[in-house]
Amino acid sequence: MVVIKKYIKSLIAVAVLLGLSIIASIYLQNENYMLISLLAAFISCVPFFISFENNVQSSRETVTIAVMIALSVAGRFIFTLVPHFKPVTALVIITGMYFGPDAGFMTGSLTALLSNMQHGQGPWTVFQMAVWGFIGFGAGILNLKGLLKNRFVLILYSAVAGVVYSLIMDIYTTISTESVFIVEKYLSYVLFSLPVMLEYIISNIVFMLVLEKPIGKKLLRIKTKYGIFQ
Amino acid sequence: MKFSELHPLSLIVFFVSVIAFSMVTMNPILVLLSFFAALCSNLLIKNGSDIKLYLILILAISITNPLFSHNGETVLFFLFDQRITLEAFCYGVVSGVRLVGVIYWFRLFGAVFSQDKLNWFLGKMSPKLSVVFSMALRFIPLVRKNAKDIYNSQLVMQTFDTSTLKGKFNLIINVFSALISLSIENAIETADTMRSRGFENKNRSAFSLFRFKGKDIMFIIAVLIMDFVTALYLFSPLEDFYYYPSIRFENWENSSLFFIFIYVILFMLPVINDITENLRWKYSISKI
Repeated sequence: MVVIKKYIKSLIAVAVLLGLSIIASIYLQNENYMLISLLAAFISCVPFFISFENNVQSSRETVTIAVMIALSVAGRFIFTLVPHFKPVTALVIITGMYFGPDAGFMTGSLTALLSNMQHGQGPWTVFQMAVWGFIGFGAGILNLKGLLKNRFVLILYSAVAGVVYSLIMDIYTTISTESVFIVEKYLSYVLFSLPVMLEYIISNIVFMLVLEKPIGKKLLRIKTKYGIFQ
Repeated sequence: MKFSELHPLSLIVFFVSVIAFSMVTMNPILVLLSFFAALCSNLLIKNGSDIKLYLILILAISITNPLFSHNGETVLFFLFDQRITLEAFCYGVVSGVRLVGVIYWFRLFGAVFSQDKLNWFLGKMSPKLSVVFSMALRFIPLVRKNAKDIYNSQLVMQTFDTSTLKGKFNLIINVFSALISLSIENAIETADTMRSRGFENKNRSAFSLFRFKGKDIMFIIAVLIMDFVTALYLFSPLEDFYYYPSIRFENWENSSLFFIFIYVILFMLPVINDITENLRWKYSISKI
């Protein structure tokens, strides 16, 4: 329980900040969902960066996180057999599982930032940073009690991660084309992107099944050998 | 001093205000001006615009908007018993132009705000984050090179049958697995070196090449003053523009012209700055 408490502060901070931005948007009664959602996505990253700054101390941990980021960015180039069929989400989840929530968030959000340096930055970068960060953070939180050791839960989590990623990026698409949020439009975008969402789910599950055992073993070995992320 | 050579802080002040203003307004005059300024800056500074791709995006948004939004008085025609209105179409065009304008500003940001500037900015927010960021930047090409080496040697050893898709996939997975061991083991060595050179000390300072010059102060003050004027205009009823139920723009006064003038100056700052710089350069050459 002590371990979880460390992260509750940042979760509460994010909830309060998001709530404030929603209240502000209602109070101002304007239609600037684009600006507000962008701000909200950015703000929700900040508490985790602060938590990372406080919780991760040693140089070994810092460098290992940098390597995991580089691996998941490079994963986008190494696996070029099928488009959208990328191990990024699986790697972020595995990092979160074995190295804890802080490392998970960092890997997810910086992978988005760095890989978009090659693919092109845009308003979507901020959303990707938040979503991938949360996926890694969630994996870390769930695995504090060893929940993701269960193979079924792990597969379920990676499938859910694919769905959530796709749904939130659809929210971005809806808001970006029109400042108002129209539910019908959102649903049609979801319908349009259903094949891609399916591909995300399948690729997440496949990579999870293939990569989790060998990589997990390696990360576990590194953890015990060098005494990091205890 | 060119626009891209300004201090990162000045650039951030400029881009935050420009992008925020572009997202807030739906007034077609302001949206078009912002789009035009972004396009000019991209052509001048980034040497390219991919305008065809973005025109298609604008077209797609203009066409899809009337399909979902049926407000507006002027019915153009009926499609599947749904009203297709002129107002919804105009709204679609303006929001498409606005989105592309914002994307252009982000493109310019990506071109001007290079990796060392981003690293400076992250370092100000959180020093550890900036270390992770810059190390990951270095590791990405290294990891890709190592991956290629491992892949080639595995290919030569013919451990997997690469004629089938399954064999190819297994080969890549094997390469990736080897890559992870190699990268992390090497990285730990780097980490120990960093530690012995005092990385974990509390009073460590960060390297930065950027100096805050007189021009940066001028630039930031100018941007902030113009921000204030533009914000006054955006919050006043002078700016209000209605699409539904019918297109209305009633509050035009002569003073609007002044505000729009300031708005244009603010958004054209990169272009103005770089053109004057180029002219000055030309002028000083001819003098010699």
